[in-house]
Amino acid sequence: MNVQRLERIPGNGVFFYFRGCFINNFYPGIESATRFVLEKLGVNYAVSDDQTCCGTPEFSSLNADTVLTCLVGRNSSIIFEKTPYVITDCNGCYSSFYVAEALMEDPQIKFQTDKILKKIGKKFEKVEVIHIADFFYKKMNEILQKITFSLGELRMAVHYGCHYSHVNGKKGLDSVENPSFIEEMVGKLGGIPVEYTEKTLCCGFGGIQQTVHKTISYAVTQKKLDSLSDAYAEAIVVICPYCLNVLDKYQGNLLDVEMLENPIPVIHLSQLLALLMGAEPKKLGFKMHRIPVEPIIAKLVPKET
Amino acid sequence: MTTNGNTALSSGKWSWKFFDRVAGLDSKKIECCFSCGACVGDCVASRNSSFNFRKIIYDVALGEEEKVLSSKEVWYCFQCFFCMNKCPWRIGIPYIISRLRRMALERGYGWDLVEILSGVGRNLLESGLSISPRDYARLDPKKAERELAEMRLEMGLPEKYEVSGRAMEELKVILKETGFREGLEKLNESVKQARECSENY
Repeated sequence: MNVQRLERIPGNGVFFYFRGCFINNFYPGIESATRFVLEKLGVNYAVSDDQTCCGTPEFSSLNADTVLTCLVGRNSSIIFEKTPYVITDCNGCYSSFYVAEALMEDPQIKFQTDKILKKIGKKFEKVEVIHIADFFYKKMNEILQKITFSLGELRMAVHYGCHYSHVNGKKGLDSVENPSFIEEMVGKLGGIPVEYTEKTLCCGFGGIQQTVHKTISYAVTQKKLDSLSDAYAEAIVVICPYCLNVLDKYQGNLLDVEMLENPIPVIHLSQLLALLMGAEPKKLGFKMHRIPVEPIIAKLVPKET
Repeated sequence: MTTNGNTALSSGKWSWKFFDRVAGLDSKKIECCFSCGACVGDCVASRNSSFNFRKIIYDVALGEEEKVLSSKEVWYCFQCFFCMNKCPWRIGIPYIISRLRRMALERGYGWDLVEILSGVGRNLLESGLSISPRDYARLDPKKAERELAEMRLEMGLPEKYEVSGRAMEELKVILKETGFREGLEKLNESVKQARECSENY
C-alpha cells in the first residue's frame, strides 16, 4: 500500500466528477451509481458541460500526441476553475490524464500543446486525478457505516484493469503486480475475496485489438474467464466500463451459441456499493448487462443494526 | 569501448537516423537496454502473437526502417502499459509503439487496421465525445438513442449528455491545429476506397 498516495487523497472538500463518454452512452447506470454513492457519503462534487472527451490515447496511433495533451489540457483548465481534485470512474479517462502528463515531459510536445491551448485561452493545469476506487478505499469507514446490506459471503473476484494498474506504475495506490485493496474492501463488505492466477491479465480489449485482431482479443478474454471460473468466482468486480463491456459481452455471446454453462455476472464497484447502500436496482442500469446480475442481488443480506 | 550490453550497439551496425526519430526522449534509456526480455515475458500480445518488442527495437537500432514499418508486428500491441513497469530502464514502450504506428501510416501501411478510429473520430468531431449511443445499435441508431434517453431519465440523469457550445468551438480549434481533422479525412478516404474496392469485387 502506497501510504503517501492515500494521504494525498483528500477526504473532504470539492471534487470534480469527470464524466466519461462510454459510461454516459453505454452504461449510464455506472454514472447514476457513482452519483448515488457520492451523495450518500455527503461528498461535494461539481460537473461541467464544458468538459469534453478525455482524449483517449488511442488517437495517438492515428495522429499527433498533441491531440491527447491538448484535450487533457483543456479539460484540466476547466476542472481547475472549480477544484484541483478530479474523480473518475473510468480507467480510460484515468489513464488519459497520466499519459498526457508523461507526454508533456517532452519539450517539443509541451511547446506545441501550450501554443495551441493559448489560442483558446486555456492552460495545462496540474490536477490531482483520483480513481473512484482509490476514493472509496479512502472513505471505507464511512461507507461501512452507510451500507444497509452485506454481501452474504458471495465469492467475488476483482479485475483492476491495465489502465488503472500499469499506467501510473509505482505512483499508484497499490502494488502493480498484485493489487489487493479492493479485495480488502470486498472482505469488509461481507463477501469472500477470490484470488485467481490471471488477476493482472488484460480483459482482452487492447485498444484496437478487439476489432483488428479478434481471435487474439477473445483468446485473452477466454483465458481470463477460465482463470476466474477455476477459482469458483461467483461475481466479478471491475472499476472500468470497457473491462465490464468486454467481460460481459463476451460471455453473453457465448451464451447465445450455448457454449457457456455458468456465466459470471460483472459489476462496477460503484454499482456494487450503490446496491449495498440500498439503491433501487432498476436505477443502476443493469438492463445494459448481458449477464443478469440477479445472482448478486439475491445473495445480499440486510445488515443487522 | 563500453557497450552497455545492448546487443545491437555492440554489433557495430547501429544506425542513428531512424532510431532517433523513434526513440525520442527515451533514446538514452534504449541505448542501455540489455535485452533482458522482461518486456516480452509478461506481454499479453507476445503470448498470443508474433509481437516481440525486443526484436522491434533491435531492428529499429539497425535502421531497418522499411522492415519495421511494413510489418504487421507493431499493430499487435495492446497498449496495456504492463511492459513499462517491467522494464528496468522504464522505457516508454507504448509511446514508442504509437510513434511507430504513426510512421507506418505516413508510409501508407496499416490504414485498414485503424478503421475503427474513423467512427470514434467522427463522434469526437460532431459531439465532443468519442462514444455515441449510435455505436451499440448501428442498425437502428434512432431507436438506440431513444432507449438510452428513456433509461437515463428513469435513473434521474439528464436525458442526454451534451457538451456546451463554447466547448465545441474550442474543441474545433484544437482538432484543426493538431492536424486531427486532416488525419481523419485521410482515414475516411481510405475507408471509402476500401469499401468501393470490395463492392466492385
